[in-house]
Amino acid sequence: MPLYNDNMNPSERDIGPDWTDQEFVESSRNGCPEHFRLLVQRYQKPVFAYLAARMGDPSEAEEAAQESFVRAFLSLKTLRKPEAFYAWLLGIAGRVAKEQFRSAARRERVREAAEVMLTEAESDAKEYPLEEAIAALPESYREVIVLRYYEGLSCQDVAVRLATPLGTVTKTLSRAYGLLRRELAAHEDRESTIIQTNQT
Amino acid sequence: MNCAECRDDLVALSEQLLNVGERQQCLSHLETCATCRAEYESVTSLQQRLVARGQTAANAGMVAAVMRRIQEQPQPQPQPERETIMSKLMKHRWSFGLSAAAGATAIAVAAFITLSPKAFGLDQVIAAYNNIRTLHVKTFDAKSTQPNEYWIQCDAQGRAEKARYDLPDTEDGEKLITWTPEKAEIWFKRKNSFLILQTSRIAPVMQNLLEASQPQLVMKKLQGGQQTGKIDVQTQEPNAQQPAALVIAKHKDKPQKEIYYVDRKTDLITRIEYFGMDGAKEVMKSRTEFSDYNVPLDEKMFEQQDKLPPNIRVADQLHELIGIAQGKLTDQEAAEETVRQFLQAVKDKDYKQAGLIYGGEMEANAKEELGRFTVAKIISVGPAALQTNWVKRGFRVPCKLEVILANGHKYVAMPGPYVRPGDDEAHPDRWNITGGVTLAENSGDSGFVVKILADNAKYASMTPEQTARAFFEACGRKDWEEAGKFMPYLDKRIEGYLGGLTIVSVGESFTAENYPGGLAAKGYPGRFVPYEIQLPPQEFNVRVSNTNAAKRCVLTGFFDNKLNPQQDFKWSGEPEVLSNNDAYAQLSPKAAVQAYFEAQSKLDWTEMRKFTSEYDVATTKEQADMAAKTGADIRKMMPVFEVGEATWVPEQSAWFVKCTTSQIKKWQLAVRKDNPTDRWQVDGGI
Repeated sequence: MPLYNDNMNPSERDIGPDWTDQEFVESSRNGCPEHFRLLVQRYQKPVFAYLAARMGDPSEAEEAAQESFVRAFLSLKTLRKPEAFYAWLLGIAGRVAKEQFRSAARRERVREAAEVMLTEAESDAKEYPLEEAIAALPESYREVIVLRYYEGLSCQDVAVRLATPLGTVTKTLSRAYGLLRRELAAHEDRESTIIQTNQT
Repeated sequence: MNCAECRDDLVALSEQLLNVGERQQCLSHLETCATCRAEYESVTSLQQRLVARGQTAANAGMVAAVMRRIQEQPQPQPQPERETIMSKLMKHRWSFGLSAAAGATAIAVAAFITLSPKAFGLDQVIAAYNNIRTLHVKTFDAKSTQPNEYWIQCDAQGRAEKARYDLPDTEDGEKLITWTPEKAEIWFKRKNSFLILQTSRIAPVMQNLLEASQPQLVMKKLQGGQQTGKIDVQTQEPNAQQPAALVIAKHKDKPQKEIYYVDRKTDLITRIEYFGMDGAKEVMKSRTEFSDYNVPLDEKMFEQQDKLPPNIRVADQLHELIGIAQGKLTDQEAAEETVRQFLQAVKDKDYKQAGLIYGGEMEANAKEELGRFTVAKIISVGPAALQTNWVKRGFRVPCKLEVILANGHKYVAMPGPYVRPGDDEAHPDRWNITGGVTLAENSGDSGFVVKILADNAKYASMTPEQTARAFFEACGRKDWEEAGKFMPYLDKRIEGYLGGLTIVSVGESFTAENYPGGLAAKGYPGRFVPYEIQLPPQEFNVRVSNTNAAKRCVLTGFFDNKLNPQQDFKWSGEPEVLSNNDAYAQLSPKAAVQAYFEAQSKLDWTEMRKFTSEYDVATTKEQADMAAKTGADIRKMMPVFEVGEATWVPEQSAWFVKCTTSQIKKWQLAVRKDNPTDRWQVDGGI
């Protein structure tokens, strides 16, 4: 029924989903830490997907994602480019993943579950550069990609959410795909160079 | 279809957004062109990877856990405290029930604030905040003509026990909300609907509002800025001209200032003013007023039902058991069963039951909305499709029905109701329909319910051209109630874009062969109306700097009219020293911006590169290339920029050049009429 609307926040004119990352970051560190909630909401799924691909185990990925957000919040004042919040957050997530991987407890669990995890982790592990490539997109492109794939909205729903014509959404997607493919190809080139260097 | 046209359509093809004809053309081209086929495979392959990544994260939800962990973090150790007005304000225990921990944090941060320790009677300020039980708040901003108003009543422990808030200007139109922990009532005045429910969602909203009114937290916010060196805080003693004491906070990293007023008679904060820059001039952007501390509130303020109009649509989720119980059904089965029972109720004309499944809508309302359709036969229900984009357990259930109208017209309707559990917080296992129930012919995909108006006939008699003109005229007058009659999904962003427009021309409509959603293939007459409008001028600012080795003015970012950042130009290094650098180094900031826009309008990337970053050139060029592929003449589409004066902002070591852009928009308005009101509705092309 169209009566009920989730948007009952009295401060809705002041804060909303159309805020940029930079606005949320600045607001969070200038005395409105509760606004960080909206950054978590915006990026929880891509960060989780990124960590799940790197770590293999969804429960560990969730723990690492939470840890990443908490660390990001605590270091928010050190973020020099608030507009690059998501790329910075992924950097933190990458470090958290490495730390967890190094821990003795994890090594033990990994050994126990090695047989099971090997195949899944290997197949997924190829995918984490995708989130890194998404982080490198201009914010307007990233917004559409996150809504379409991580929030699972249809193109029509994305158009409604952003109050933009459907054609703009598909064009934005098309451009974003182009940039993503370029970034992923560059990543694969780098990987292949590293492998070749190691082999020689 | 050639390769360029085909590639433009590849995303739409993969997203199944092309109509039958377009799809066929595109597929035919792909059959014969290996290059485009490879491109298409590349697109779909990436899409599959993205879909898989999204599905991996579909159930990820950690907002509450993260925020809890953040709150559990140890607070910084208290520093030796200097007694100042700020520290006392912050130390003062919040009378609305702020936790001791938050108070301690406030004390800890107070030491950073270096103000006069002998500021006016602070003990009284502190005492004044004790035992506050009621509060009235008004918020004003530059755009709205009326304030948002809130009245809150607390119990002795500082918990909000009653609230009323009146929001005259939301995306849903005016809303009046009254709330107690036991019951919330929401009157959507524009929608003429009223919802009664019990919800836990409003309590935190009230909590946030109370916190926003508290001096401690305001001071904590200032301290956050002071810690990072971004805010200067000063106080001003009361004097003959200004009887209130003032706390003035100036931001160093942006042209923003706040003034907090402390009333000397009551020792309470009464007002906060927020300032920003309008070009070189400082102007007040918004203000919040706190008043009526401890003024008893009339109980009638919290009652709405005796004030409702007689024809209002009411949904009472508090007294009616809505939806159907899940029992042992799986989620998918429950979604399908919910829709099946709903359709059966509509078929049986049991509108009480249909309304209960339809989000708890009252029988009369359900009858009004559905009664004109006679369901002759339920052809199929399901399979339900999980909509992870919506809520975790939300489904869309496609259906086929045979419908007969009163005039004997028979057709197959294909609605796709949305179903989910848990709208009634007291009965989280019950599933109900939340939307997508439109039984009109060919309207299954629009997703918007178009309401019949009291004077519907007047609008139903309009041609597509008249509809387009009336819609634009309403936008020009900013008459959003009227504009909403032509566009069911009108919202703030569209209003902001179109408000104040001027019509240049409205042309003759034509049949939309390529109307989205395959309507043409279904024989539905969607139309396009060519139009030309003058959009209202938009003000923005360009940041310009010459603190570089080349010592010439280059652009480093776009900012809106409130100097909020819009686009960073992402310089990766210093601007190159040009062979004729001196000539460019002599240009003023204003002249540099003018030259930049001129180069851009000519698509002269070499010249443009002298004033901006490689990133900006690349993204602009990419957009121009994309537009060119569509056959558009990008030079003619370029907005006209007026470049104003530059203002030096020392905090940023840069000039801000005020610019105005005006744009003529020439496009086609898409309108459709597949709704039960028989009115043309704007569906796109804005």
